[in-house]
Amino acid sequence: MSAALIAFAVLFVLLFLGLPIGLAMGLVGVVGFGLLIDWTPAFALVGQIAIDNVMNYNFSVLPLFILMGALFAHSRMADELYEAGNAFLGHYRGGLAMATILACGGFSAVSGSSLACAAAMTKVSVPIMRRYNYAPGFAAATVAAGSTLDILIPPSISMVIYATLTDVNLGKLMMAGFLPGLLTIGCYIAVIVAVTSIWPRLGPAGARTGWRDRLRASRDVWPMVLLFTVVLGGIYVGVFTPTEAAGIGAFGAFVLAAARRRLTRAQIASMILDTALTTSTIFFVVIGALLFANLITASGSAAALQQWVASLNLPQTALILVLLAIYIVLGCMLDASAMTVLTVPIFFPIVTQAGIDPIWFGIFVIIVVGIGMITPPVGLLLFVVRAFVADVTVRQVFYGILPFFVGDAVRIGLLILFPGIVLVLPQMMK
Amino acid sequence: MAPARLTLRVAARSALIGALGVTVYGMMALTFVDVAGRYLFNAPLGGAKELTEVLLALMVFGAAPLVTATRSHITTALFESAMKGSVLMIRNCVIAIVSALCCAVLAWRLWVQAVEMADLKGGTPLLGVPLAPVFYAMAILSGVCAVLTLVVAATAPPKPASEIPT
Repeated sequence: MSAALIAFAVLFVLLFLGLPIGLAMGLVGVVGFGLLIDWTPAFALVGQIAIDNVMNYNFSVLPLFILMGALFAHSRMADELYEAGNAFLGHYRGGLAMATILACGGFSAVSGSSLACAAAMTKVSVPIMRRYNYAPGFAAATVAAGSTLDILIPPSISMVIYATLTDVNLGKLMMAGFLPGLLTIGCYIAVIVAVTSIWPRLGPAGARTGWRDRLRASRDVWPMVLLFTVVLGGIYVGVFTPTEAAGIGAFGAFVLAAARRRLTRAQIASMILDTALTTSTIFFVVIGALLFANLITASGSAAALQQWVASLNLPQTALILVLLAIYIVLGCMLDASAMTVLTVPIFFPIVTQAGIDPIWFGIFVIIVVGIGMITPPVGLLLFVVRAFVADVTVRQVFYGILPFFVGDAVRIGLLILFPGIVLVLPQMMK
Repeated sequence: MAPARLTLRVAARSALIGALGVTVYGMMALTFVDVAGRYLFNAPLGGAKELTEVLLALMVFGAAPLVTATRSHITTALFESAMKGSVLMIRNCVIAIVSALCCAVLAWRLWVQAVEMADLKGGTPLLGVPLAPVFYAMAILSGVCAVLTLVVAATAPPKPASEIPT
């Protein structure tokens, strides 16, 4: 146990110093394994784990879904989603913020990365909210909260990583995210309604849109709905595996973007770079985290922890609440992929041993990882959003995000009380 | 001299984008043709899976030097803004050297794997695409990352804390 604690302590020092997450985890993993067991296998694992993972067919979904999201982002889809949301909701108090949450949800349905969602939606929605005198911190925080939907509503990078680590069926996991995604949209919109009723100056009403413009705005969104239906429907019915669906989705997005003549050469180039770069950074984290997790397993700490938790005989709910606390603390320091790769191999056996459904736990992990990404002081999404609205202070964004935690508490409570929200769709699949 | 170097950089950039484009769009096209072939013509594309795996490996390591050059690695820069002057400089040096070492170890281990694969003359199961060259490429690209890390640290101004990769 002490070896693992030292490993974690060294890791956090390196992370705070600013060593890239993947390299830091890999370094501690290899050096720790070398000191604890033997240097020859420690080094041998580096090449082996790197090759096994970059040549893992299951992981090829990652670039395909990232490409699909990039194609939509570059074909002005984020703008169209937001315009559609605005057309229907903009004239209500807080309506532009509600439209932001809806548009984030829509964007999530074609994209798998919360960072991508935050980057795309901030540029689109924050300027409009500010034109209508929204409080800047509240506007920015809304986008950050909405972006956590991206890893929950399929496709999702975190789901791919979770499924690959645990051998849970990725198709079922994707279906399982759908209803909790809708629930989250509902909770966040309720938060916006409540906040703007109490403090109307945070989000004044925007302009009303006529029905003609509403229809036009909805017409722009249908191709995306169609593609989402084909991709998810295909997985649900069992026609495609997730990888195949990702290939079809990316191809469909490419055809749609090309048909709308939205693809310039420069954009195609930047999409290629985006996709390859994002994929590469994720793999550095995945490989590093696997090396680190390997040390934790080899040190016997994972097994010791598992036995210890089993001996406590905690009720399921208590176990879940403890894990929730751990994830929120870790989420302050690590990004979503790192946290998933690092924690799931350790917690998964404990959780399944306690009789918790592996798919339910996957969705739980993805939700709490998302919450970690918007938790001050280090919530990554808060900083991504703020990077695009330079005149908003960090403090303003931190205050803005606070009300959304009420929504988070409600949705997590509901998922614990009614696990069916997660499990009903995957159970209906073959 | 300067324009020639500029042209060279543009050419290198285009070549890199082209190569990565082959991996990204190649993967998309392979999957699509495979699925379409299976359902429409009852003839799946033999070896689509293993080609996809090779393309994935080349994409990840092909983009790795770019990740290094643009400093897009995911970091947790908590106390970055708290450090100033010589402390910040020392910290930047340490980070660069440690990062470079990590990449160098990765390069070394991949090279070892590549040599083994070359001895075995190993290839992909269906099409027999030789894997040793793929592993050598991965090793060399990791080595490039190690060198680039040091070059970037020595030449580029420190990255502002707010700049997080998207």
